[in-house]
Amino acid sequence: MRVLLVEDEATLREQLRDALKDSGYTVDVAVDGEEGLYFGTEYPMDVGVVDLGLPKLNGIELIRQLRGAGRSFPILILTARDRWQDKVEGLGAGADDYLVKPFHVEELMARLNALVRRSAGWSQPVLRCGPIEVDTAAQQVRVNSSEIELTSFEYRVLQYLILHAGEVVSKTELTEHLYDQDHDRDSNVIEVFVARLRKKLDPEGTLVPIETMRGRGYRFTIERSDT
Amino acid sequence: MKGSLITRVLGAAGVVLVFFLGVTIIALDIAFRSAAERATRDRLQIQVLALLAVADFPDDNGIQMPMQLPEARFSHPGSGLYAQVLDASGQLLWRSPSAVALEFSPPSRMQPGETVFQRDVYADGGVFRIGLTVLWDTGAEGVEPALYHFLVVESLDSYLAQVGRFRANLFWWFGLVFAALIIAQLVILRRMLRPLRDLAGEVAAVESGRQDLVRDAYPRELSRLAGNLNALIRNERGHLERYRNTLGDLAHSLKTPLAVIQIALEEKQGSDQSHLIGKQVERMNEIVRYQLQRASAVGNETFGRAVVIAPQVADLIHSLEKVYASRHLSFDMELDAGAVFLGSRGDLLEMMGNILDNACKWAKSTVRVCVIARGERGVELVIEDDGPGIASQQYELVLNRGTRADESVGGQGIGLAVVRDLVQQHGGTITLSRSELQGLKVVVVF
Repeated sequence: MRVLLVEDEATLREQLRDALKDSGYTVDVAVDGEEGLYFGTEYPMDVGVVDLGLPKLNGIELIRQLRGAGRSFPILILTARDRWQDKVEGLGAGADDYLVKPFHVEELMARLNALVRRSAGWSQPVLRCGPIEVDTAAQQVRVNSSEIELTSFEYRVLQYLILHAGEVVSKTELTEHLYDQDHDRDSNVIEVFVARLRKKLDPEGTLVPIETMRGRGYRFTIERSDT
Repeated sequence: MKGSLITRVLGAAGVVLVFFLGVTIIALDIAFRSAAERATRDRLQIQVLALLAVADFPDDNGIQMPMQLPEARFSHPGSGLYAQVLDASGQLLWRSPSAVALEFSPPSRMQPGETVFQRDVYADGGVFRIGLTVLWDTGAEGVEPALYHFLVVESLDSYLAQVGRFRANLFWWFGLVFAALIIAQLVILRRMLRPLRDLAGEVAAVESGRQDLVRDAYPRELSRLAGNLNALIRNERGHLERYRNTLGDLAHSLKTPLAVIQIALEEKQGSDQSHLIGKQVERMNEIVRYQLQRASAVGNETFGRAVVIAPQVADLIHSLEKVYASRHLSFDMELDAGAVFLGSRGDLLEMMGNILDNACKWAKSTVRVCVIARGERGVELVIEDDGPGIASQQYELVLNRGTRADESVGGQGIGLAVVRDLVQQHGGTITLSRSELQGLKVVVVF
C-alpha cells in the first residue's frame, strides 16, 4: 500500500514514516503542501495522511486540489485544531477521516487500514475469500483456518491482490503501489513473489487463487465471501 | 444629555420665535397706536377749526355759536365728542350740547395762535383734548382784542376700541403664524431625523444578526457615521477571527510536540517511566484541549450574525457519515429551514458536533436530529440515539465532567461539558433524558 504523508514537523514526520513503514506501507513523504500535491497527483496513492497546518499550501487547499484533479484515494487529516468547524471544513474539502493530535500510532494505523479497505469495498478488517482469510489488523493470513507464514513483501502483494479481488492488477500497478519512487523496479521480482505466494497459499494446486492474465497482470479469482 | 432632539430643537425654536414675534407685536402695537393718535389729532384739529369758522363774535365782546354745529356729534349729549369755548380768564363762555354737565379746563400756558393736543387719562377712562387759543379783534372801535380758548375733547373709548380690535387681530394672526412655524419645524425635523431612526434600526438589526452590515444609503452627514459603524463591526469580527486563529495556532504549536512525545513513548513502551510520562502527556493534552475549547468559544457576540442551522447540521452529518462510515448509521433528520442560531457558526458547529459525535459513538443504528424554530428567534435542537443511554443519576456528572481540567478522565466525555458551557454562554438550556429510541436524548433550547 502506498501512502502519501504530508507533515511539516520534522520529528513527527520521521516518526510517522517509520511507523508506516513498519506497518508495511510504502511511504512518500512531503514536507509541505506543494510537494504533497506533486506526489499526490504524480504517483498512484492508496491513502493519504495530511497535516492541516502546512507551509506553502495548507492541508485543506491541498485536499481540495487533489480532489479537483480527480485523485480519489482516501485521505486522513492530522490536525491540532479540534474544533468541529475545522473538522467539517476538512471533511467537506474531501478528506475522509480526521485524527486530532496528539494521537496513538495504533489508532492512526487502524484508521488508515479501515480507509484503504473501505475504498476497496471491504468493511470488515478480516478479508475473506473462500478458505483464504487476510486479517489486516494483525497482518496474518489463514488458509482453512491454519496460519500461513508470509514475508512482509509477500503479505503486501497478497493484501493488494485480495483487496482488489476480481479485478485485474497489472505488474506495473503492483510495483507502483508496493515500491516507493526510489526503489529499483524490476517486474521479474513481482513474478517471483507471486510464484512463492501461490506455493504457500495453495501447495496442492487445488484453489488456484491467483490467475495470470497473459500480458495484463494478475487477478485474485476467489470471490469475496463477505465484505 | 438626555431628552429628544426634536423637543430640544422645538424648545429652542419656540423661545426664539416667542421673542421675535413678541418684539414684532410690541413694535406693531406702538406704531399702530401712534398712527391712531395722530389721526385723532388731525381729526380734532379739523373739528376745532370748523368750530372757529362757525363762531360769531359780536361787538360786545362775547361769542355766539350757531345751533347747527359742523359735526352732529356735538349736538348729542354723551356722544363722546365735546366742545367748549372759554375766555382768557378760563370762564366758560359756551359748550356744545353734547357736553351737558361736563367742563374741561384748557391746556395750561397757551399762547394765542397755538394749538395744543394732549391726552388725559382718568380712573374711569380718558380723553384726547385739543385746545386752540385765538386773539380775536372784532375791529370795532373801543373794543380790545380778546383771547378765546376753543377746546374740543373726545373720549378715548373709540380709540381704545380700535386699538383693542387691532391687538386682537394681531394676536390671532401671530398665534397662527407661531403654530404654523412650529408645526412646519416639527415636520421638517421628523423628516430630517428619519435617517437617524433608520440607522438606529439597522444597528439593532445588525446586533441581533438579522442584517450583515449597515447599508450605505444615508445623507452625507450620516454616511460617515454609517461607514465608521461598519468599520467597527468588521473590526470586531476581524478581531474575533484573528483571536480564533491565534488560538488555533497555539493549539497547533502545542499539540504537535505532544504528538511527537506520545509517539516516542509508544516506541519504547513498558518502562514505568514511559508509562508515567505517557499519563502526564495525556493530561496535558486534555488540559490544552479543554481550555482552548472554552477560550475559543465566542459566546454572544455583539455583532454576531445569525446562522441558519439546517445547512450546518447537514454539513456535520455529511462529515460524521464519513467518519463513522464503517458503522452504517442511519440519520433521521427533521431540519426546519427557518431556524437560526444567533451566534457564530463555529460555536453552533462545536455544540452540534459534540452532541452528534457523542450520539454516533453510542448509537446502534440510528441517530435522530430535529431542529425546530420556536417563536421569532428561538430554536429547539433535539438529538437522540438508540444506544444504551445514560442512567438519569449520571446526567449531572456527564454535563459537569471536565469543568475543571484536573477532574477530567482520560479523554472521556468532555464533549457534553463543553456543550453545556457553550449553551450557557448563549443563554440557552440543555437537558438530558431518555429517548424513545432507548438511548440518550439531548435537548438544547435557545
